[in-house]
Amino acid sequence: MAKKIFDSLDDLGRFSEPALMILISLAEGPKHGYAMTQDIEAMSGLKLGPGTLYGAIARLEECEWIEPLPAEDRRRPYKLTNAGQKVLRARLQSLRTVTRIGQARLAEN
Amino acid sequence: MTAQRLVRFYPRQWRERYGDEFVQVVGEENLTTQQTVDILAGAVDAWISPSVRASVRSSAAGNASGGAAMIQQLKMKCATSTPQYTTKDGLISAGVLIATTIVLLALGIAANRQGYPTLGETLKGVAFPASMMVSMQFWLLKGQPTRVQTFLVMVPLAFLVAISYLATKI
Repeated sequence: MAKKIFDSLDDLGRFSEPALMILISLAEGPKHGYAMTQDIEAMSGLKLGPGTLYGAIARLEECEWIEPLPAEDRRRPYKLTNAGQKVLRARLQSLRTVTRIGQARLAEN
Repeated sequence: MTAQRLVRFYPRQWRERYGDEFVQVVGEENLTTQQTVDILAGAVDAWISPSVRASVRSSAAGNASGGAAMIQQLKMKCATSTPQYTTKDGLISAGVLIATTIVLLALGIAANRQGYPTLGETLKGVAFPASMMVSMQFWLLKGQPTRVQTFLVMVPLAFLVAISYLATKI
């Protein structure tokens, strides 16, 4: 069977939105889980549950879009990898396009 | 209920990899219902998702044995999360699903005719969902450890049969 390489956040199914939020949060710099949830809530109003957060972190790690740094006092920070930046840029570009089209269609009415 | 308790529902390798930081994120205080449900759903995901299991395995290998394992870890890509079942597995699973459903329905009808209406109705009621659960080990649960397969099939199955039996009897 041909091997499938994930190259888009859409491949993460229901975890794609939490994963996007995590990537955006880490674009600012390395953060541990608690700091990510606080940042994501402040930025988007989305409160990620711990099960969802770590489900998304595990998938992002497996895809090598984020990587763990040495633990600090039982808290392990994560940082965005180059591949993660690339995926995030692609997704944000796609969202920009969708937003532009949506706004243009609304303006027509 | 605290995170310390709920984290026990996650696989051992997952706990070794994420357990400490997970509890740190959640804190020691009692959880809300929403958090509890989210954590339990995460536990089910950690047991059955090939992608999460692969991530935890590769992290554990890297932590455990240094250089060689790190190289192995670097070789592991998202490809490892490709579902392990093939078209053939899907067909086998469908066959098991159909055959088990027919057998259970036939047994239910036979039990009714032999004068065991409660047993008969129970068998007919659980025929499809029970067959679905039994067939899972040929596709969704393929590649999982035997005890995980047994747990994820037998526990819901026992629960389903008990509920169906009680509902029929009342």
